[in-house]
Amino acid sequence: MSELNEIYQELILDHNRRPRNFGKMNNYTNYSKGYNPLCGDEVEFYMEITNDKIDKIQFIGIGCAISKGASSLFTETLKSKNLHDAQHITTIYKKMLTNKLDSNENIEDLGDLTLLSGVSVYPARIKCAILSCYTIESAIRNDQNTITTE
Amino acid sequence: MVDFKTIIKDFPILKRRINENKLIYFDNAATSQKPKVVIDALSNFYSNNNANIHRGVHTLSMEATYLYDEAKEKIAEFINAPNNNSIIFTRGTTESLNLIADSWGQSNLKESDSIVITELEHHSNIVPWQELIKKTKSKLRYIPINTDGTLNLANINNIITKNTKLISMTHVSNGIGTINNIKKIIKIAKSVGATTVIDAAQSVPHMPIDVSDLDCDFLTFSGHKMLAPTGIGVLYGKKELLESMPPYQKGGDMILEVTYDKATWNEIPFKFEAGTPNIAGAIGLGAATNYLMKIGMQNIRDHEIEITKYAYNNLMNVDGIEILGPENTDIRAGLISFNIPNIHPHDLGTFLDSKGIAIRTGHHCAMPLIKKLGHHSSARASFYLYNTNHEVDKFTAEINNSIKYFNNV
Repeated sequence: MSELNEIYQELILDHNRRPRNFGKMNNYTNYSKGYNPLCGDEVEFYMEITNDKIDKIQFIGIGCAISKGASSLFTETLKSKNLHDAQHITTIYKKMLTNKLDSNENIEDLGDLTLLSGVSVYPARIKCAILSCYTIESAIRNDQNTITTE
Repeated sequence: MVDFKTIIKDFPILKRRINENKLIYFDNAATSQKPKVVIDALSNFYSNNNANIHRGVHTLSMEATYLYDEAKEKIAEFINAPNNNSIIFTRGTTESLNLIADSWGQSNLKESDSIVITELEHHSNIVPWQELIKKTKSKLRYIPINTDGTLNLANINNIITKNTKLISMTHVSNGIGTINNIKKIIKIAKSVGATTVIDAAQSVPHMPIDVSDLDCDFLTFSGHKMLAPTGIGVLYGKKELLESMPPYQKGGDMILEVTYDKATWNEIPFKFEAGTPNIAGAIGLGAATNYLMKIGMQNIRDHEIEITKYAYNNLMNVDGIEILGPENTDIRAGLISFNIPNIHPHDLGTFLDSKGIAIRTGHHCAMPLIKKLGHHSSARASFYLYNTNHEVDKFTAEINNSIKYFNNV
């Protein structure tokens, strides 16, 4: 069971079972939709951004425990962050999953999102973990196109 | 009487351990494992007979040509094709279907014509036709399905009409396992003069197929799903149809005579086998065919019916499970596609992998079908001659464990 627990950390499973900040938002400034054509996973992020600060962030979607857990953990981590910090977090997160971190880069800035690091040894599942990250980056840019993992 | 318990010994890979567990391979609809006789056939060919075919006058070339042609004869016998020249080697089912769409389709379809396929198809039997109708301005129509994943033939006479020029349909659905009554559809097609294509990628490896009895015009399948190597497949076509069609690819071996100005085409099957073919792959496919024929396709089908019934009944006891496709094994092949509430197929797939069990998860290259049935993806277990009820027991037990794991109970 130990290897399985590396990828399915208890907190990720908990966020999968009880996703935080889950639901549509009516008044939002930023939005994006993400899609993983490989497995059919979909996620939508809503944000309320004022003065370059994420005041509110919510999501809806369907996906596996990794995808949903990551989305939920992202909302908790990014709430109240300024855009500069948010972009730093998404950059470090992507590098963590693809084993491309520079020696001076620290994953501690990611908070609970570091729990997703176990996914990096499962190449087939990295896209599950990265979809929310791409979609959040796109929402910050307010990109109208659906983002895909392909 | 075939003892299926000893068959496992013929497959070296089945000795492997995955994550400290004995491998249980339930992803046969994606690709099958290879018996030692097939692996040895490849190794023997490269160690003893390797040369290019159909042109050399030296010993090795003649040996290679003999082995290649012998494989073709074996395959013609396997599907009861009346003529060896009706067997074209391709890279697989996808290439076979593309060959028909490009060669037959572009020279036979006009604006008022329609192509009929079904809602069960694999992407490889949808996309070539979608592209073909763009070029020919013809129409693409679908035979719909019922909620149990069987074809709904209620309005068939409004779908297959005098304008229908081609019907291309899967024999067995790779997504949910439905076995279609192809004989009935082929008859309807004949009554309006339509040409028929059977995608037999999921049936030829698992049950007896007789193209002469079916009376289809084309039939396609892949070697790698029937114990042979990847990169080799078959297009069966009626001789006179193949003879009337323009070549698919142009180059060496498919020509009769070339001048600096023009070329004339070789006879079938050479016309459709441009360039050096996958010689070793063809010989491997011949070896696989031989192996399957010795066991007997009806024996394999019976074995898979037994496992599928057993697995279906076991899985029905799993809390909340939804199984896609028909229950009756008369119309269900050896595969079961399912969903378990609150567990995404990918998570189930990773959980089972940690126990050494390989299944497929996702949309199985049949996106429109899985969507139509109200799902985004599914988990799929697909069986073959080396699988056992004992493996099904372990599989079901681990599914129940996964429910406890993910739901924290």
